[in-house]
Amino acid sequence: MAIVQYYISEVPFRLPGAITVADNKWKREMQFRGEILGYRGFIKTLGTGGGTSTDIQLRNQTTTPDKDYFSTKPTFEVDSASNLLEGGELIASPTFQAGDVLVLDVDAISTGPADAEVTLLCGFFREIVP
Amino acid sequence: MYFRIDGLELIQEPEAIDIIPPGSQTFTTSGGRRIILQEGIGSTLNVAFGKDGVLQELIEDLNKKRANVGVHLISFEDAFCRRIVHINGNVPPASLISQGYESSGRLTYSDLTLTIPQVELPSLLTVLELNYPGTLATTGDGKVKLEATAPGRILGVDGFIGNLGSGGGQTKIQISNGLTDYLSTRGDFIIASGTNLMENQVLISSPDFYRGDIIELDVDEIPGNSDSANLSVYLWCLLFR
Repeated sequence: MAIVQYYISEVPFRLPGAITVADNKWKREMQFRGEILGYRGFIKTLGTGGGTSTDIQLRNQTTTPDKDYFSTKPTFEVDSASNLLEGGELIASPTFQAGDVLVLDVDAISTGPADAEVTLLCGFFREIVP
Repeated sequence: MYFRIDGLELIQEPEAIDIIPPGSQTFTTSGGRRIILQEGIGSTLNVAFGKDGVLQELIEDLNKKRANVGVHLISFEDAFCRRIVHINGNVPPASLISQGYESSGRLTYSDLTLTIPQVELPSLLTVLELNYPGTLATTGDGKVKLEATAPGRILGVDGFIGNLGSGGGQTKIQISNGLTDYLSTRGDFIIASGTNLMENQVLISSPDFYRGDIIELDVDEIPGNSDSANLSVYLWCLLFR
């Protein structure tokens, strides 16, 4: 019988260069099953356009159908000028299985955003056979 | 009441779970400032089973799930924040306190409280990133390097490339510490597959490294037009203290 240990670690995603609206901008293959506990992000160039933002979605493309992890998308807001990922809300059970591919989608942009990173804080379940 | 050991349900649910926060000691400095030192790293769970007696099978079930290993994943519902919380806890062997017979003649035991202290694992799961921004115009060893700050073991590897490139061939990578190649089968970023994910990689049987080792990303092949770009390889590592 396998025993399980719980680890908390970060999983980074990148949006290098000019950011455009598209799915599958960056992908990660999860090596363990786990859950998303939190997230943060930073954008080097916010872009311009009052009231506009660069909107992020995180999606599990291995599940059928695909599973979006944000019920409310977090955004990089031009007006706030913080350059940090703001707002957003995770779904009630943001879990994944080992081998699932999580992808970063950009659903909206300001004018000329570039170079962002989004990092997930995840809890992982590692099975060990004693 | 939701309670799991290693994700598995017990044959009898607990009736109460009390979370005991770690203790603390308070000192006063000569300047009159108070210093509070926390004892231990986590809480202790008191998990109570069976006010009216514990099923005989529960003792066996607990010890079977414990499997002579102390530290397990403990999952329970935190009544305050109404969510499932996961911790690593040191599960003691379950032993009977007293036994007797129910009116039906069934053998039963008195109630049972398991005291499970939260423990800090001696290892840390971390994801190390070897990122090469920009175009991979040439092959070569040590395109990206990082110094291991603790001894560890690679448990898994994944990778993503922003631009797969074009022309014949593909981007093919190796991970090494300069002496040991960690992939017995190198990782490929296959243009035809179009996933942009690393494929085919197989780790060697003991992909270990030591503090001070320089872990390198070697780019062994690139596509014919030398235009693949924005590569990240991620090492899922256990670091040891």
